[in-house]
Amino acid sequence: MKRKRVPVSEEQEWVRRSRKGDKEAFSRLVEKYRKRIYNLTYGMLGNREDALDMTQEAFLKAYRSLQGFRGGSDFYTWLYRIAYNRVIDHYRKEGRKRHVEYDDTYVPSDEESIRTSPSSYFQPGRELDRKELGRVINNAIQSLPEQQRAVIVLREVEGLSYDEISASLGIRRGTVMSRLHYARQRLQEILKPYLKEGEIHEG
Amino acid sequence: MKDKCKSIHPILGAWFDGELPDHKSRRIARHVEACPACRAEVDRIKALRSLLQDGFAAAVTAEDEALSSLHQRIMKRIPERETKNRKRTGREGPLMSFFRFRRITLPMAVTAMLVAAVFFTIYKPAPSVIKTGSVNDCIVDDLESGGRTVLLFKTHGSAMTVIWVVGNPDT
Amino acid sequence: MSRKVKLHGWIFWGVGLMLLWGAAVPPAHGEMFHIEVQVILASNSDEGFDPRLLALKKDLLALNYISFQLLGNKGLAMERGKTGRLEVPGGRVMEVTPERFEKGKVILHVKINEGDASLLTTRLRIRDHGTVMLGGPPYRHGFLVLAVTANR
Repeated sequence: MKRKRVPVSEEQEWVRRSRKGDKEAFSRLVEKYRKRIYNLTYGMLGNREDALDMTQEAFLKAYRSLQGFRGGSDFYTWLYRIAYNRVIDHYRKEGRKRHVEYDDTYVPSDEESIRTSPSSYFQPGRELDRKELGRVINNAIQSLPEQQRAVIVLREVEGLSYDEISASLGIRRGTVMSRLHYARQRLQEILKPYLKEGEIHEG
Repeated sequence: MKDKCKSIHPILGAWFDGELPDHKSRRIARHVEACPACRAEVDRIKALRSLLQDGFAAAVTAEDEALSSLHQRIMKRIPERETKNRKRTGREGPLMSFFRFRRITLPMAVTAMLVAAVFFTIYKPAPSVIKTGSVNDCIVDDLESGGRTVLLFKTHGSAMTVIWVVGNPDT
Repeated sequence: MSRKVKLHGWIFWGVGLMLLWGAAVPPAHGEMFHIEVQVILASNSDEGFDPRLLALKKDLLALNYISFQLLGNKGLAMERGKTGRLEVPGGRVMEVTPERFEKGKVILHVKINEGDASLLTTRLRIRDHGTVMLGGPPYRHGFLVLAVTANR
């Protein structure tokens, strides 16, 4: 999709040189992937400070573990995996403060109930400004169970294939498919007021 | 919802993503063509994708600067001489790399020992240091704070030394 | 017997390298030091955490304040023995003098003056590329923290 691929051989060369301690080569890899790793950590955490923090830690960890990287898999899926695991650790440490259970007892916060109610907030034809849109989408993603956030970001934002997601998160392809299905269902429900196409609901 | 739709519903997303095998994909395509309900569902998936992409881009916009300074910080935190450590943790295992490099490492080790021996006989060693291995190791040799209370401690983060001058001078 | 020969080889290498090392040690004068000072305001306001300070986040949070904002940042390139001056908010002046480099550490003399009075005078041995934080002077609604990073 939006991904720009550097010819594999060039990237492999950067990886090879990074493993030998070439900072300049590693810097190229950081340059290329920093935004993508940030997108994943931001999507999983929903706040920029933690996301920047985790991005930094992921790259530092990657540099330290480069020897363990087998050239067989793609570097970026390996990198995603490090970042993903780092955030999962973070979730555990934070005592699942942000965790929202995925079940029917889910109670939206005030802000969420406002934005999911078309009559009070959403006015057809009114353009959301970008900041507002960003906030709405971020809130919606954060309302997903943790496991689903990474899948939805990697698929819908980063445009990864199911196989790539499976490799990045270390989960089976079937799991990717089902998590994605549930995440989409839930997001459609939450974001209904903002989806132009789709169901016609009574006004 | 018809039975057919019910069975297709959970995999419509995967179909839309082009992740189903050909035969299955063709079967679903035929159904979607004929079924308004499933077409509407596909439209919703499509709309959701574009909304997520727009919204996400909006949410992470303006981060380019933060990311570029993050980049600099990452590079600053990477130690300059990594090559030697790498070899010890090499994929071939510590034992193999030891043998592979023993021709160089052993004379180097001996050299290092000799250098160290000479060094310590010539120079008076500095006050003993607790080797924390932290990049922020710091020794405070002397300190004068005009009678103010000073807190001296290390952080949990990266064992960074903090010198905190408290309050006003004694009068 | 061949073991002994090998050992001789090593000693030869060792002594040789040692001599080379001796020759390669840079002359004492004219050494350049780089000192970077980040001036940070720590407070309990709602300004939040300045993303430019993320590298120091864990260490700063240990100070038990909520908000950390970067007020300024200055890098000083100095020759050994020369003193660099830096204006610190609140009418303070910081003077740093890299005295020498010894055993992987930069030996740094630091003096902070407030008007005519001396606030702090200290001599630090900072590991090359290491950071030390000097804090405490009140400023606005919080306290100043000076994060000093030294390298040769």
